[in-house]
Amino acid sequence: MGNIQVQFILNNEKISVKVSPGLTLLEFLRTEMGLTGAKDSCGGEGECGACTVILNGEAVNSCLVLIGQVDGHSVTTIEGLSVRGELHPVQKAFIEVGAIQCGFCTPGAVLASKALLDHVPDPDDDDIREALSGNMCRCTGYTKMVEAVHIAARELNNGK
Amino acid sequence: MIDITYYRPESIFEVIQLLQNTDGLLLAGGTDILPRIRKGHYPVKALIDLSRIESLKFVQEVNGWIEIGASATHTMVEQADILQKSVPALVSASHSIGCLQTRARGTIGGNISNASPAADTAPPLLVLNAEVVIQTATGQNAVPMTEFFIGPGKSILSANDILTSVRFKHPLGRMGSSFLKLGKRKGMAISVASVAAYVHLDNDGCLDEIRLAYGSLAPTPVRGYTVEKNLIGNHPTLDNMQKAAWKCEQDVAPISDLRASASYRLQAARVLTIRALQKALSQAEEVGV
Repeated sequence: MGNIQVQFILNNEKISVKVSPGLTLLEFLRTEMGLTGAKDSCGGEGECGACTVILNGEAVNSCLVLIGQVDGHSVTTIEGLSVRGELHPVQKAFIEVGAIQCGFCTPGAVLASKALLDHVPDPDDDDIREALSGNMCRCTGYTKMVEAVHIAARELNNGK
Repeated sequence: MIDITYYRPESIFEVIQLLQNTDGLLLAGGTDILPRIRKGHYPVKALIDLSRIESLKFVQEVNGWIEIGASATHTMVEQADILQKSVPALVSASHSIGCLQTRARGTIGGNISNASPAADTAPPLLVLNAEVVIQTATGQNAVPMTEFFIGPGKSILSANDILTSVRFKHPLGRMGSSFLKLGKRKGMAISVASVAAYVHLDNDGCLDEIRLAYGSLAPTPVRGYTVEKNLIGNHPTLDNMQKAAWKCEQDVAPISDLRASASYRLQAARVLTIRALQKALSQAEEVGV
C-alpha cells in the first residue's frame, strides 16, 4: 500500500508528511525527522520506556504507536522540552542530582516525569515511582530520579 | 517498519465493511498486537486502525447499567469517577496493567478481545456479570462474559465482528468488589495468578450474592462456581472463607510455565481468594444496613 498523509503537532509545530503506514512513531521521529532523543532499547516491546514521548499530555511508548495513529494529535519529544535554549526544570534537576548515568534512558525518564508533574504538581515518592515504573534504567539510578522529580516539582511550583 | 496495508475507517459501519472485504485485523491501542506482529507471531497483511472512531471511547451510565466503550483506555477506566466509586475491582485491574505508558494506550476492548488467560480486566468483568456487546454485519449481540472465552487467545468473536463495548448492571447496596494480582514484580507484571471477588450482604450480614473469578489459572479466565456455592447464604467468617477457598481447586486448572509452577499457582489462588473476599467485604461493610 502507498504512503499515507499524516498531520500532527510535533514539538509545537504543525507538520504534514507523507509516510509509510508501517512506520512507528519512534521510527518516524528517528529516521524521518532526525530526532534521536527517543531511543529503541527493548526492540519495540513497550517494555523499557526509553522511547517515551508525550502524546496529548500522556506519556506513551512511541514504539507502540503507528504513525497514522498520531494524525490530528500533539507529540512532544525531549527535543521540544527546552524553551529558547533553556532546559526544562525537570532536565535541570536530573543533571543537578546526577540522575543521568549512561544517559540512554534519560529522555524517556525525563518525559515520563514531566507528564507526571503536568498532572500531579506535588507528587510523593509513590507517585513518582509509579510514574517511572515503565522506564527501565540499567544503571539503576532510580533513587536519584525520584530526588530529581521532587526538586523539579519545587522549582515548578515556586514559579507559579 | 512493518509491511502492512493500513485502513483508517471513520465509522463502525466502515469497520464492518472492511472486516468483510479485507483480511484486516483490528488495531486499537496496539500495546499487544504491534510487538506480536513485529516478532512475526501474526501473519498480518492489513490493519484496521480504530483510532478515529471516537464513539468507541466512553464510560457511561444509562438506566442502571454501566457501559464502557471498547476503545476506552485503561487510564480512562482507572480515572472514571463512577468506576472508582462502584467497581473498585475493575479499577484495580486496569491499574495493575503494564505501566503508565501501556495504560495510556491499551484498551479494555483489546484486553478482552485478545482472550489471554491472563487478561487482567476479565476476572472483574466476570464477577460483575458483564456482557460483551458485539457488532456483526447483520446486527448487534450481547453475550455474557462467561460465554465469551473459548481457549487461550480464542473467543467467540469471529474475524468479521467487532467488540464495541462491555456493560454490567451498576452494583448497589451493601456490596463490594476487589481484584488481587500476584506478579513477579511491581511494574510491568503479567500475572502469575489473579482473583476478583464480588460480594453483596443481606441485612443479617450473610452473603446473598458472591461471585469469584480467576485469571492465569486456567486456559481462559474462569468463574469460581464451587467456592461461590460453598459460601452463598453463609456468614463470611474466616473459617467459612478458608474452607471454601480450598475448594477452588475444582474451579481452576493451572499449568506450569516460565512464570510459576501449577502447584504454586493453586496455592496462590487459595490465599488470594481469601484476601480478595476480605477486601471486597471491607467495602461492603462500609455501607450501612
